[in-house]
Amino acid sequence: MIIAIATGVIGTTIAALIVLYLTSPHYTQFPISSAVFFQVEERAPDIQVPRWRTLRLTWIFVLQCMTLVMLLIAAICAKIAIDIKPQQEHVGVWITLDTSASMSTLEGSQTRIDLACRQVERLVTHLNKLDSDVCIDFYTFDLGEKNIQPNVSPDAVLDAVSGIQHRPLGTDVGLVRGLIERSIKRSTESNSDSSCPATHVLVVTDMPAPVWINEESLSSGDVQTTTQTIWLDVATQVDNVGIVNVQRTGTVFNTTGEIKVELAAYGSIPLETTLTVTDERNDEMKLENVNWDRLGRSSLLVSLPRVGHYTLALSKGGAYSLDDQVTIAYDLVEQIRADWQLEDKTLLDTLGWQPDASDPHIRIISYPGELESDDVPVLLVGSGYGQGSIEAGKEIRFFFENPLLDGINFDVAERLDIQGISLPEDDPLRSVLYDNGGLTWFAASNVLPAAYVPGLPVSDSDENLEAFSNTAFFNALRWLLGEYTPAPLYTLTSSQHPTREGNRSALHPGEGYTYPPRSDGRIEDIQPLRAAADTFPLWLILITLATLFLTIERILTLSRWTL
Amino acid sequence: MSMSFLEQYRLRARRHVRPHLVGGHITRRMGQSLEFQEYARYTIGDDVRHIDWRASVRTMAKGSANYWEDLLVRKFMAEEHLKLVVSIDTRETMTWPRPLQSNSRSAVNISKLQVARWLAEALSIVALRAGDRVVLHPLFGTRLRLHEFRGTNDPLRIRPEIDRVAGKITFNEQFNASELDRCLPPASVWIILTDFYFGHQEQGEARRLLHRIKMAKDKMRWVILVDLDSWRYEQFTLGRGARAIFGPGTSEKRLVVTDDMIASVGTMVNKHKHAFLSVADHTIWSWDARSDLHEHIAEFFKARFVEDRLLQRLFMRDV
Repeated sequence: MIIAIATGVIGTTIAALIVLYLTSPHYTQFPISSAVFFQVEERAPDIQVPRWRTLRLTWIFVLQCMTLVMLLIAAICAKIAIDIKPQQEHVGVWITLDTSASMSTLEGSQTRIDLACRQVERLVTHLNKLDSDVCIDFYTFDLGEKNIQPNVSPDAVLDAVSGIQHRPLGTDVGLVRGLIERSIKRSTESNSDSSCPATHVLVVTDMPAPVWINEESLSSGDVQTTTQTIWLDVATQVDNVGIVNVQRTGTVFNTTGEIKVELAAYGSIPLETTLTVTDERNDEMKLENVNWDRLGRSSLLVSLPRVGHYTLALSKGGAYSLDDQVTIAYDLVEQIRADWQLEDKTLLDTLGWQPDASDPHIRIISYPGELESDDVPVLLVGSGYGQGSIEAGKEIRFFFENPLLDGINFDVAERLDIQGISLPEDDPLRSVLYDNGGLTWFAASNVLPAAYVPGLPVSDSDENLEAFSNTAFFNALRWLLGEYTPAPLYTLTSSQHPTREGNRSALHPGEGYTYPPRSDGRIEDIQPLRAAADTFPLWLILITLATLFLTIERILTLSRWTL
Repeated sequence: MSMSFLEQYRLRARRHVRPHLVGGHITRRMGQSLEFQEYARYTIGDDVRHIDWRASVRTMAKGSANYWEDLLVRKFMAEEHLKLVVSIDTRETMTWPRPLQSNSRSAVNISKLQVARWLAEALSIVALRAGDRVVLHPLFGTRLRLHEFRGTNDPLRIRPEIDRVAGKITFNEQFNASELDRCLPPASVWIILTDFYFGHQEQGEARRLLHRIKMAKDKMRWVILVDLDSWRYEQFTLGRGARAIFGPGTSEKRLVVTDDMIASVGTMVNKHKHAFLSVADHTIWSWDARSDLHEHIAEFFKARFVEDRLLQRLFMRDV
């Protein structure tokens, strides 16, 4: 609107200038010595009776016209800029292909990885039609990222994609975000040595496009990026049933022999699903019918007779097969291993624990001992119980719910002379049983895990004290052994161990579930982008020229030079 | 003009007797003077004290009965020689007119000042050859010391003197009256070469000049005004139509020039000059109204110089 008004005004001015010159007489300059005698004559009007005359193209008229014409063109071309640097049309595509376990899901007769490879082939076809300089960096991602082909032509990518397979690994979407940020950073760095500066990032996956795609937060600092991310979700929601988790029901020290199997059904809930348990000899031991709740969840308690490897398999697993079967290593602890660091090892022998400082289930040390950085539960044992009565006025305080206090007779305890300890403020142990003087009798820490008791069980003293000391010690043992984390029944495949073998399985969370698909962008959106060329506004050049013409015209007018 | 031409001019003029006219009181007379001029035959009435006996014996015919007819008597020069003071106007108006092809580097100078310089040179040479004295005087501007020239050898020094006196254009200078008092004695001739174009700022000096002319006449000086008139040429080059006219001391004035306007301005010019020309002897040198004047300016000058009777009278003899 403003440009139209400016154009109209300047155009009208040019027309008025021409009319003025056409109707005004041209006064030829004449220097004469008798000019003084003409001064008394009446000045002629500048424009007499308007009549059309021949337009004389004097230099001053031409300069005035050129000034206005430059202004007119500047108004019309207000938005046009001249590229200073030669603009190059370039397409650089960083492809990252999802090779996680979920890409093995069947979509009809093809897997998702097949569908993803077809998308890459479509991309190659599209890029070959572009009349531009094209380069591709080809990556895959699952739990790790791999650069398959750096800076190659589209046709070379076809050879690479043909050999791409899924891996039984989970999906780390954060890798994709990192790749996008790297592509932006390298495309904006002037001294980037990237062999293929990215103009586009193409993500081919079965995950829906996240909300942070193309966010400004991905830009490299304050630099506005022209890198565009296209997210292709090749998945469609399919029905699937799978094993989600297998865990022990008790601790490793009990002998319940039971495991809990959690199952999930996505999409349609199947009518009949069975879980088959086979042992190491491949003898079928159990066949459990799965009962689903209305949310498609189910859990089964399976009893296992002995230590060993068991394979759990689902029938009618669904489109995704890697969650249909898992092999577990079921073990029981038959002998507790203890790192007994106390001098008195009588109780160790009595309990029949195996001394083992390298891989103990529990560590017994004197208070205040130095705690090691491993996760082995630690029992700190004080210097022992005293004899005599409690001081008058002393009261004990405690936390009811703490397992160290199970079975403790507090009436008896008040009459005992137990030398408490003063815990430092920054001590990870927290008082469980303490007196009103601030001295601690029992302490525990869930974080380490660790516990403190005043001493080993005593046996040749007051029977109340004997009962108290035994209860305290074994409460602590029981609680600490309960905190011991046994080896899992199964492990997950990883980038370092991508193969399913033994009890290493591909039960990565979420791989069996298909989110509602959501893509962002299309392959056809990949078009050549011009490199951020330096531009110079055309209107500035034209206004400079107009100023130059006007200056010359003024100088000529002042010098009264006419041609 | 060559020396021979000027000499012929002087001799031609000397053959004529100057007619009696107002202001022509300067005479070349033989008088009581110690300066010998020539021998003449004795006639009754001549002073016998001036008889040159020796010269007479040499020329007397032997045995002549009328020996007194052979007597030679000395004739002497008058004490007042003819003194010519030539005032040259060097103001800016004198630098016009200019040829139509003014942007040409080889354009000939047809200005009034150029003609004034030629005229001053010619008059000075003729006067010196006639034994007169010459002083060249800038009409405006008082910074130069004036020199008096006499003798037949001094013509060679006239041109450098003209360059000194009339080589610079004067702007807003005063009328040069002080030097004039010194070099204009009684019985001298004051020739003023100017165009009489005085602008508004110059009216004061113009009045002083007019007053001075009148005074000189009253005090027995012969004043001759040479009106260098370029009006005819300028109005010819101006033509008719829309003109932006400007000149010395004036701003540009846009006019549509018509015949009536030219006539009106011409009347104004004549009226302006009449104030001067009416008080003294004058001669008008008008530039021809022709576009090729720059090719014929020398011929124009020669013709005007030869035809000008007033200036010729300077060199005629009285008796």
